[in-house]
Formats: sequence, structure tokens, C-alpha cells
Amino acid sequence: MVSLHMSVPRKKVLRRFVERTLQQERLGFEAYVWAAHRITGLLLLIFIIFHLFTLSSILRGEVAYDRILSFMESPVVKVGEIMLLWVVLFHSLNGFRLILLNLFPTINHKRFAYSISIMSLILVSLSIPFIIWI
Amino acid sequence: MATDKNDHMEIFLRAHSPGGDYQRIGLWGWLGLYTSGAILLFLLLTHVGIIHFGTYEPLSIKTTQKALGSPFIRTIELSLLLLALIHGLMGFRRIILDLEILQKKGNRWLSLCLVVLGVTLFIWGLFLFNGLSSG
Repeated sequence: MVSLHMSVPRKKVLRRFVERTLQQERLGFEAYVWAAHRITGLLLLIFIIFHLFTLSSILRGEVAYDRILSFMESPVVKVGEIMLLWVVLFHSLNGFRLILLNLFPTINHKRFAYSISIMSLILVSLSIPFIIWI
Repeated sequence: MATDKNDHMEIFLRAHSPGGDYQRIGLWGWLGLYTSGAILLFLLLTHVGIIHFGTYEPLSIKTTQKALGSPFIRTIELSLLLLALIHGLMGFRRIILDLEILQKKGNRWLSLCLVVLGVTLFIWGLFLFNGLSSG
């Protein structure tokens, strides 16, 4: 195990991912999940700042705050919230998987990734009736 | 196919491999990203639960004030803000470092800027929190 990591360069991961994808190389399931984890993470970071920005309407008075809240009830925002839910689900489940892989090194990576992806598919499909209900 | 498998394992699996991420990002990086992520999972569930199932009235400033009156919800929301900022900004720093477009000095400046950004956003959040709970 130790010799495996020692042979591996520690950095340039993202740069090589981009280069290899541009060369149309097939990189495998986990590589794409790895990239998606970063993309969803960036989206969530943007969302936090946006969320603080919408909440900051309280500084312009209670009327402005209530107006923003009623805007949040509109269908466009609802669709956005559903997409946000899926982004959060993906990022948190994949993050959970990464924590487990770091804590229990002997897990079969590939099989574990597939099982987690099936679990998340089930969770996402379970979330649909909830969304319709809300 | 076998070489292809090893190849992608070499690059990407090792990024999150047994001890691989720990080796790459060090003790504080690991603690900051992974433990805060684990705690965030619970905080986020509580946060969404409070907002979507805590009240049946239409949302308004009054429901917000009532919710933030409880010390439990206050603690949840404040720690959520703090941990989400730490986790998000550390993750952002990790992405930039993986790109390797910066030199050592640039990395230090990046860290400094992100700390300043995080502290600013947290203080802004505290202001909003104050306005929302007592406004």
C-alpha cells in the first residue's frame, strides 16, 4: 500500500484530468465522479454566497425580506431548489463515500463506488414524491 | 484495458486513496475538509428540516424571528454558517492548488485572501443573524 502512494505524484491532479479529457481519453467512472464532486462543490459555494445575499434583504427592512420570501415561493425558484437538492445529495453522498474510503482503506474502490451510486439513485428517486408533495 | 485501469487508478483513485488524500492535504487539510463535511451533513439535514417541516404557516419575518428565538436553532444555524464557509473555502483552495497555476507565494496570497473572504462573510452573516432574530 505504502509503495503505491509513494510512486504517485501528489499534485497536478486537476490539470492532468483536464488534459486527458481534452485528449478524449476514457478515464473511468471514479474520475468523472471526482470531477463532478469539485463542480458541485463550486456550485454549492456560489449558492452559500447567493443565500447570504438574499437573506441580506433584512437589512433593507422587513417588507423587502417578506417580498424576497414570497419570491422564493415562485415555481422557477422551486425548480432551482430541486436541482440544489440533487446537487447536495450527490456531494454529500460522494463525500460520505470518500470519508469511508479514507477511514477503511481495504474497501474495493470500484465496487463500493457502484454500490454508492445505486444508493444515491434510489435516494434521488425517493426525493421525487417529496418534491411533488411540497 | 489493464494498463488503462492502472493508469486511471494511478491518477485519480490515489487522490482519494487510503491515506492518499491525507498525504496530499496534511492533517489540518484532512480535518478541515473531511470532519467539517461529516458534521455539515447533520447540520444541513437539521437546517432543511427546521425550515421545511418546522412551520406550516407561510414563511415571513415573524416565523424567522420565532425560529431564531430558540437557542438550539441559533446554535445550529451559526455553526452551519461557520462550517460551510470553512469547508467551501478550503475546497475552493484545494481546486486552485490542484490546478497548479500558482507558485508558492501565490498560494500563500490565495490562502490569505480566502481567510479574509471567509471572515468577512462570517461577520456579514452575524449581522444578518442579528437583524433576522431581533429586527
